[in-house]
Amino acid sequence: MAEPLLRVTDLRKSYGESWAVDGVTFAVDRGETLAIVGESGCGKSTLARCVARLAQPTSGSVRLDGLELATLSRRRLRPLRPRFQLVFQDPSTSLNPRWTVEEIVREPLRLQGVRGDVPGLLSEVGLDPGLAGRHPHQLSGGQRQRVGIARALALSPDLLVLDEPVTALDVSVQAQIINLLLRLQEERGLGYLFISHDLAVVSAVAHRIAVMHAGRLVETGPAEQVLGRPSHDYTRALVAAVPGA
Amino acid sequence: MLEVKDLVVTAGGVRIVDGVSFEVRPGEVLGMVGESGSGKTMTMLAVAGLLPGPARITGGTAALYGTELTEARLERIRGRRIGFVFQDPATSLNPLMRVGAQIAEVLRIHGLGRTAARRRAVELLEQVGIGPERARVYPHELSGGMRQRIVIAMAIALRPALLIADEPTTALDVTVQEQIMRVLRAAQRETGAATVLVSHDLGLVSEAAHRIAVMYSGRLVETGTADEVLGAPRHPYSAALMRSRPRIGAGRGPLPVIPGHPPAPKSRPPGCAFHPRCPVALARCAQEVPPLAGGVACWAVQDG
Ligand SMILES: Nc1ncnc2c1ncn2[C@@H]1O[C@H](COP(=O)(O)OP(=O)(O)OP(=O)(O)O)[C@@H](O)[C@H]1O
Ligand SMILES: Nc1ncnc2c1ncn2[C@@H]1O[C@H](COP(=O)(O)OP(=O)(O)OP(=O)(O)O)[C@@H](O)[C@H]1O
Ligand code: SF4
Ligand SMILES: [Mg+2]
Ligand SMILES: [Mg+2]
Repeated sequence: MAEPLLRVTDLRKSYGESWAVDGVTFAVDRGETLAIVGESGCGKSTLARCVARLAQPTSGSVRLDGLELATLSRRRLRPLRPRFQLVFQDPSTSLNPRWTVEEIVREPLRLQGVRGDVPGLLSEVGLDPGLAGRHPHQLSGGQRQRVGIARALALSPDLLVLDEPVTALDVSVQAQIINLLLRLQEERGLGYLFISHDLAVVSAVAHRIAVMHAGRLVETGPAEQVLGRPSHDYTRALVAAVPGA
Repeated sequence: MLEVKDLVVTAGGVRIVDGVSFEVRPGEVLGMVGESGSGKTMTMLAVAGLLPGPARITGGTAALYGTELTEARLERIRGRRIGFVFQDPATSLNPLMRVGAQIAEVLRIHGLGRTAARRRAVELLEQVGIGPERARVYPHELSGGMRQRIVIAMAIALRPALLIADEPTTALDVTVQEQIMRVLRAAQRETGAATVLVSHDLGLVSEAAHRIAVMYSGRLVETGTADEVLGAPRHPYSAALMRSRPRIGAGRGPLPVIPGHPPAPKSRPPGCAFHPRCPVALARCAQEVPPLAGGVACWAVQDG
């Protein structure tokens, strides 16, 4: 069988005495969205940061196309960076306020010493290239998140790790960004590790869902199954707690 | 009873709130929803007499049990009869003062003696689920959720006739949101205050509000019971907004979106502000502002 795009095996991360991520195993294929859901503090962001190597895992393996990332040094990791990118929850805090849209999207290209097509990237995420000269505070929340996505796409990654990418957005903007992510996945065959506490959002994007509780995955399966016929008590409680469901 | 009629708020020559009318009865919770920038906060700040610098009330009235609130000389009445809970608890708390003392101070300013104020402060803490031993801590020693509960205790300390909560849980962890809403609803029931809950979170509002008011570009476009507005919205904007919500069970796939984005107040189109995005717009929609009639501000609904 071919290697999946991302394979995470028995990943652990401790802060002091406590384990934020406590033995997590899963895989994500090309063109596939695996959603990680769970309550605040269960370790989702820590997991995302370990996968994207913004945090160093305590132990375990993170393989991208079979290549081990977890133990690579920063220097050895650099040439692989373009292949996986992180998109954050709050676009206003993840974008440098003093840079223009153009500079923000160009930054990853500059770091890797490639030219890239910034106006093309902006149109691809549905941003008027005329906004290239603006600063983040001159944009709406939805526009800022599009800039974050354009920046993540600049180096043509295979995998996006999306940590609560639509949580801070209004309902109508949330729907626009979800649709954008679905379209980009289809066009580019991207794999998504999609982190969210919102089961309704997750149901619109996920092929498979993994439920995280206290640093561990308690249930993983196809989206319809996990949401429709949850097998774990904790998942049942999560689904039951969704307002209006 | 709060009665707001044709309220207009202007900032820099632009009407950021443009003729808003609604009522809230004692004991009732009105959920005010709308996208970022639609004017929810400005409407409620105007009612509470707390508008920031450049913004002023330039039209309409807001009365609490018949007392006009929009006149500046009524500062004291407002402080006493309106409780306000803001999004960020830090803006309401003094970082250098113990939380019990802050609650007691609110009571003392309005005439309670020292001992009575202390005793009442402890009662209020208990009411929001915080043990009396915490009265002596400083705000930074508490979690965000606990800080917001202190703010709620302060807001209800004087048994306000009107309680305004503007995005009270938006800045907090999802897990404490439910707890804060429970505390807020208990406080609201206990005081019997007319309550306005401002939020962009439709799910949250649907659980807490009796009636809903939907704002778009500085105007109120639909009001009704929570079941009506969320379950069977009549205004094309509210209807499109409800459709664009992801739902469990709908399965994976694109959501029905509203094209474009809401206009800023200074580029609000003439007539119905929603007309450039409205799938059922009529010719007159681009010329005349539809009045709120029968709970809906829409020509197609009124003519149809
Ligand atoms: N840098 C850190 N130092 C110490 N503890 C941390 C650090 N980052 C996270 N933690 C702890 O690890 C646990 C998991 O946190 P994490 O941010 O991963 O949760 P989360 O599931 O993303 O929550 P949320 O939904 O609120 O974003 C928490 O108990 C948190 O306090
Ligand atoms: N101090 C100010 N001076 C001038 N205009 C302002 C000021 N504050 C806000 N506005 C404008 O008033 C309009 C209404 O803003 P308001 O804060 O009431 O929106 P809101 O519905 O509460 O949005 P959010 O959901 O983002 O809190 C916005 O277009 C905003 O740009
Ligand atoms: S008034 Fe006209 S444009 Fe506005 S919502 Fe109704 S039909 Fe649409
Ligand atoms: Mg997180
Ligand atoms: Mg607001």
